[in-house]
Amino acid sequence: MGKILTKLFSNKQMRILMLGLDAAGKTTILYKLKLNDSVNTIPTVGFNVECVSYKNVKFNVWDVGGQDKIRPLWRHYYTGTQGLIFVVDSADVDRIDEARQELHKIISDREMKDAVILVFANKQDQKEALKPDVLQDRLGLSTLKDRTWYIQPCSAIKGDGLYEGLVWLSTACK
Amino acid sequence: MNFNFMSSSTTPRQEIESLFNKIFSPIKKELDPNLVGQLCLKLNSDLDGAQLALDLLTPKIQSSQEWEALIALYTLEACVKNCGERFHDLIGRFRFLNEIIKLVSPKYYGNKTSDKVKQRCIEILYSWSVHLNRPKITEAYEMLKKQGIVTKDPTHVEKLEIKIPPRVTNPIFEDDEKSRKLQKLLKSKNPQDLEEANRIIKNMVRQDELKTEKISNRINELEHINNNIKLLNEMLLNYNSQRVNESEKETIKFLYDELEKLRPNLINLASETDDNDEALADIIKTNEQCEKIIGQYKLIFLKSTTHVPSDDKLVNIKEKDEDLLLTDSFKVNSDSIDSKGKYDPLKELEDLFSNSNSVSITSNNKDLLMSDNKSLNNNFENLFSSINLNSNIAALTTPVQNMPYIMPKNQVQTSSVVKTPQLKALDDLNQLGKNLMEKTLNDPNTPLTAALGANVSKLTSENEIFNFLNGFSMELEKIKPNNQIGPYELYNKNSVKIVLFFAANSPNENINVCVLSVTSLNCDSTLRNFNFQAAVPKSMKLKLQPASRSDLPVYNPILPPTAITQIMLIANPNKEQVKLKFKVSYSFDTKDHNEPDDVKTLPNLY
Repeated sequence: MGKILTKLFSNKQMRILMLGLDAAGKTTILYKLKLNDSVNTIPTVGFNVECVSYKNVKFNVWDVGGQDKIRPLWRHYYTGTQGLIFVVDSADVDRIDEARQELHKIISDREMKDAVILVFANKQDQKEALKPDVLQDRLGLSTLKDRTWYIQPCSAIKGDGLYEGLVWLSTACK
Repeated sequence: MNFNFMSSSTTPRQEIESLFNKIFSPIKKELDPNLVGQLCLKLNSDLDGAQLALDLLTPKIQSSQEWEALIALYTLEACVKNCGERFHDLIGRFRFLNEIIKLVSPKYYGNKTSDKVKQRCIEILYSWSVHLNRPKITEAYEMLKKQGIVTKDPTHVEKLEIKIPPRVTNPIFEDDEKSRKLQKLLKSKNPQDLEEANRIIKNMVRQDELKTEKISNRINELEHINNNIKLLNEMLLNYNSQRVNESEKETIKFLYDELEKLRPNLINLASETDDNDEALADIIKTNEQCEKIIGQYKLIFLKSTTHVPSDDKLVNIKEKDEDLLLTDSFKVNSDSIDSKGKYDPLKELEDLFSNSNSVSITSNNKDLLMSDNKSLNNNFENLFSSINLNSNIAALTTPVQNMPYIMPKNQVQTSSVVKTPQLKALDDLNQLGKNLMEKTLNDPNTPLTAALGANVSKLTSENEIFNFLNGFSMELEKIKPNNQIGPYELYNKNSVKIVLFFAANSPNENINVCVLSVTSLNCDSTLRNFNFQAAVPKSMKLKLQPASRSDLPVYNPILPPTAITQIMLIANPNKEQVKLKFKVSYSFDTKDHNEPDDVKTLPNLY
């Protein structure tokens, strides 16, 4: 009985690592979730970490700078990560392949092998944005085996799709 | 104008593509392991190289031309061996494995593929399934077995030796100590630790930005200096003291002042640059060019007031060589003439070509002059040793005009640039010589002239030879090898070898014709800026014709070695044993080799 109560009332905690190429919209997503406000951001050097509570789940979201020269530092955040949010600028068609390479590099790391993967197909508000089904092929998600993944279209500025992503994370992560 | 300014601007992608074109040359249709090795190196230094290479390789593997497919499979194997995990990740996917399977599967191209290629594909897949820990490869291989395409495992599969390539890294972000610290801080629950971690990362980025800024500053600075050098060079090249207008003069002066001002920056740049940085070579090169052009400016504009500064190393070396040769034709001793209080212009002449070397000659002759009158003859003998007195003043100009040809090319790349200011200086020389000649001839009372008259006949023959040499040049095709005197190894160091071949034929019995052959056995780097300078004792005269080239490609044991050839003519009217003093310089990658002077007595060459 006590166990069930704990499950119902205590906050479940999740360590979420949010990565992606520079200018994908990671920081905007983080503060939209945290403050429900679209803030103007500057390129993140280093990281931001915020705790976002949604439906009794506490998400500790690490938003890490995505400029190519600081990507080698991503590996330092891997340990203990339960969920990866990989943010893609769906309208930046030229860099989808670069994003794919980075994504696969991350998830093939031993420390990340148990992490569930949520891909935010961001910037869906833009006209030229690729649709999630196209993206999932271009990112090589369709060929992933033994991994739990989900692609969620979203718009960080409008806030569309963000909470749906969190819901998926909380259910996918046991 | 052959300044090599900034290095090549090709992208890594273009470089990889051009290597591919070379590897799959439809003309050669042969495997060149050297090129494949180069490709592997290139792929390791480029993050996206592996994917690009595989994309380019796939259609080649499926080529209907057997030779192309086999080279592609060899290249693929080499990449697997040398390009590490990144490459293994790519070949371990069905996306690529399927392409190989298509070649052997009768459902696809299996019936069209040659047996040799099919066999190789199966061997490769088997070898990978054994040696690489990639489940998909094993799966693919097992499937081929299940389908009966592979009936039994290949037997003679060599062990796959996998080398771990160096990672493409940025040292700032790969610092071990900082990595450990970051990792620790990021695991901490303490917000202060997290702030500290953020600070460390920000510092890393700032450090990297500073470095980038420094590099871009350096590139700008070098470009600025190089542009000034180029401009000044062009202006000096077209400089004519009669026709020059004031604004041109001002521009030249301005450029010169700028360079003098900018030169210390080069030293700062060099001291800020790491020793193993390739940019150091650029800086040094620019500095050399800068010194050279400053020297040339001084030669033209400041000749009567200033000596070329002795710290101008390169200019100095150059002048020394000019001097060695020029004094052969103009054994002018200004001190001796000065002591007579005459021929002032000669002072200028000496200024033009003064250096430590000529000073020593001077002092010797001075002693002689002091001792008795006879030595004065000697001096004058020297003075006119290459001027054909029997003809007229016009003859005087001949050797002078030919002068540039007897100067060894200091740096093949810049020789054309160097020439004109020299020519200009030589014009001045010409004028001086004429003045001198007129004075001498117009003053029959001078005992010097009388003394001179007695010696003329003896001198002319020697002079004729020297004069002849000045205007003469030999073509390589016309040289016949000498079977009596075998080749002579002049130099063999750092896998650079200089061999002297002697010719059987010669334009004159007093002139020896030799051919320098320079080869490099360096398998890693291209030989560049090869330069050979030589001098002979004063009783002889040496002329080096331009070298065939200044660079030699990386040595490939399979191909015949390429050689630099340079023709050397030695006039030896007194038939003395030839003592050759020479100096060799060249560079491999960024390492410059400047060999000190060496003297060798040439065998059987009289």
